[in-house]
Amino acid sequence: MAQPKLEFLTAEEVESIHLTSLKILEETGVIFPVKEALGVFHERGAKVNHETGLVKIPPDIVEEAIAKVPPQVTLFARDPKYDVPVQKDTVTFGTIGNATHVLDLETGERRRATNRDLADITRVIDACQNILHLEPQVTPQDVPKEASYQYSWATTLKNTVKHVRLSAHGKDGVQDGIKMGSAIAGGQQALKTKPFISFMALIPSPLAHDPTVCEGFMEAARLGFPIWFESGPVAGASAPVTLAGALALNNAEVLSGIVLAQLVRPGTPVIYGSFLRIMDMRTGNVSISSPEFCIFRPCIASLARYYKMPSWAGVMLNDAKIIDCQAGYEKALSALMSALGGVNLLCGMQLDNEHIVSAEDMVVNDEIVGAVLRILRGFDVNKETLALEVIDEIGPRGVFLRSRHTMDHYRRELWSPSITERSTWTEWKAKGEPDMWKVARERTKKILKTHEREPLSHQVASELDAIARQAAKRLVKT
Amino acid sequence: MKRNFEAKILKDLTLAVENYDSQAVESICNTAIAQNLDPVQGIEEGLAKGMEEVSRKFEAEEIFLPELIVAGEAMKKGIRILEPHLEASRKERKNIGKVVMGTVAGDVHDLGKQIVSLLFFIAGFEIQDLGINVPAERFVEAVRKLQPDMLGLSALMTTTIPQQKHVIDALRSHHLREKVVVMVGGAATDEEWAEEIGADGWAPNAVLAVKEAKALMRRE
Ligand code: B12
Repeated sequence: MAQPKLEFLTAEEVESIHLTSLKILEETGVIFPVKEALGVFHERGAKVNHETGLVKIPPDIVEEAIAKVPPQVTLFARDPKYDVPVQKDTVTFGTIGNATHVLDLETGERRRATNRDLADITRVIDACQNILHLEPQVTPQDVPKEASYQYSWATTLKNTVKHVRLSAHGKDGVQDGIKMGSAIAGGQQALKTKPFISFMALIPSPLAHDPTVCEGFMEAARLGFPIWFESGPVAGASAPVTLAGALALNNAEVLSGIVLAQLVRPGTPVIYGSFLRIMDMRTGNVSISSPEFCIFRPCIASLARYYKMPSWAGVMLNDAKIIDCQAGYEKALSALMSALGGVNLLCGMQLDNEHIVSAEDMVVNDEIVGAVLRILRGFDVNKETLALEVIDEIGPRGVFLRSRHTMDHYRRELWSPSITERSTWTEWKAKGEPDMWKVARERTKKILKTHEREPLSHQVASELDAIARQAAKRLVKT
Repeated sequence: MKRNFEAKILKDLTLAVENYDSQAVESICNTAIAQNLDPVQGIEEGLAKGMEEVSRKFEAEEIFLPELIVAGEAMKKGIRILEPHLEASRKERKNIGKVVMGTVAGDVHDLGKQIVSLLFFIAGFEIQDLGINVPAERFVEAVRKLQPDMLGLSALMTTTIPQQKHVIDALRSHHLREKVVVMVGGAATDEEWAEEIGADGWAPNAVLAVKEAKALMRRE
């Protein structure tokens, strides 16, 4: 059985979104508030307004750049066991970063995130079997704020062996990240051959790059590191409220970044992505978990497949504040829709509209992803699995539990939950009527007590700290 | 006769805002000016009345943000047409305070600040929006030149909220801090932070921001 696939868009609809995006790029244009970027576009023959920074990119430049993107990429990990080769049908889950608060593991109360929280959350993710790549989940509020990226990178790199994505936060920021990676790898060349870090470039909607991020991703491209592109239009606020228009705008923005990266260094590995979401019109808050959010994901995958690029999208994000029924349905819907849609790299796992991350929520996410990946795997139909002989052997009124066939196949056929409650009412009562949050909390405490990773050497760890401290010196105004 | 005609214009203005119809607002305002209608009356008894009804519907959740915003834009358009004629009539529109708003340096988050500015405007404040990525010096400059009653600083990120402090410090070093009430806001801020940096007020959302701002104005 082939991997099940969910398509919202027909081939013609994909094409018309693409053509609309080309028109946006050619006629409306995109602002690049970075001199160097304007130089690159000018040289290649795009229409550049050096005063406003507006660049109008003709279709041939866009098409040429699209063709240069490597169709596959590998997210290397510090421990090769966790390398993630991204191929056409790959679907894996990871996290996004930069929340500001946590739910306290003991009290469940919301409070500001600390550097210690980041270390703990990272270790929990490191132990989660279905979460394979991460971004520093929270911004510690107890480090020099202006250099909080660098501090959070150091903490995250110290606490996981999985692939870590950093923000393309300026030329200096990208260099800091690479310095940290090189310290761990034993030199920039070693890091470059198997980069276990990559960079995220977010393009602010509508149609205007951020100067810091633009400089950052140009540097990452120059140095040959993989770049995840995204734009996060808010349909109804910074993008049309119609889903088709929002997709076309999102697509134009992402392509604009990809084009620049390919112009800077042809063949730069990039990941086509999106954080497309909607505004809740009653509250004015940005919702990151609506049915429309779920519909967007398969569409993003379709577009990336059309361009033959690896894809990623924000997913498993919650408007819900705590680990409750709303959180569960939001996570499950978006995870399942995105996985069935075939998005390669699914990143998210935050509560309260991207403000809160909780360590125990990672255990919940790990569980839901397990179920989703099981669904995605489908099942085989062949002589052995059709089981005609077994049915005949067990016959009417027989019990299949007794059969060897059951023992041989159940592990592959049936997903085994880890924290999902499946016992009887009486058994559950006897356990103290725990809800999923409580179970996850206990599991998390256990992980924090027992999960060991080969730590970075003392020397490398203090090198990372020194890079963060130097960044603070450079960035903190007195 | 003239009275009736005026009453009709005012009523039409109210209805045009209630119907989210900025084209109607524009043409009625032009008629009003041609007919020498008192612009203050036009704003207060015409446009603002419509806006009151729209705000009521918004608070009752009969309508959502898009209607509120489009009605607000319609009202703005009307005010822009009528305002230049205020001087001729030697009257002033009652406004409850002048506010300068902006998103701090390094930060391009715009949506929240726009909603706050709009609700301030609807509530009767005069608004000067400096935009996004605004360096401290420009805030200082604006306070000196425009002499607002209040300064609103929006910042959404851990890396940019220190800028709110820089602005307050800069106001202080230019001896302007006492001249203006400072409110801060944005997702990365909280009440504790506002206190820590010496701001006068903070609010978690636009509706409460208006309440807080009104309270601060009263205290002044
Ligand atoms: C939409 C959004 C964007 C959009 C902004 C589009 C636009 N045109 O404005 C885009 C995609 C451009 C964007 C970019 C980035 N973003 Co952003 N973004 C958000 C998001 C999802 C929503 C913000 C929003 O518009 N909310 C809706 C409005 C209505 O709410 P609000 O802004 O909070 O405003 C309300 C109140 O706070 C208050 N208020 C606001 N201002 C003021 C001012 C005063 C005076 C008062 C009294 C009240 C007040 O009233 C408002 C109305 O109710 C937040 C997460 C979140 N849920 O907040 C992240 C978030 C703020 N972004 C974040 C980040 C990291 C970034 C980027 C750096 C990403 C990147 N790596 O490139 C860039 C920043 C670029 C830059 N230099 O600024 C982080 C910040 C994390 C941190 N640790 O501080 C957040 C929290 C998301 C996350 N967890 O990663 N972002």
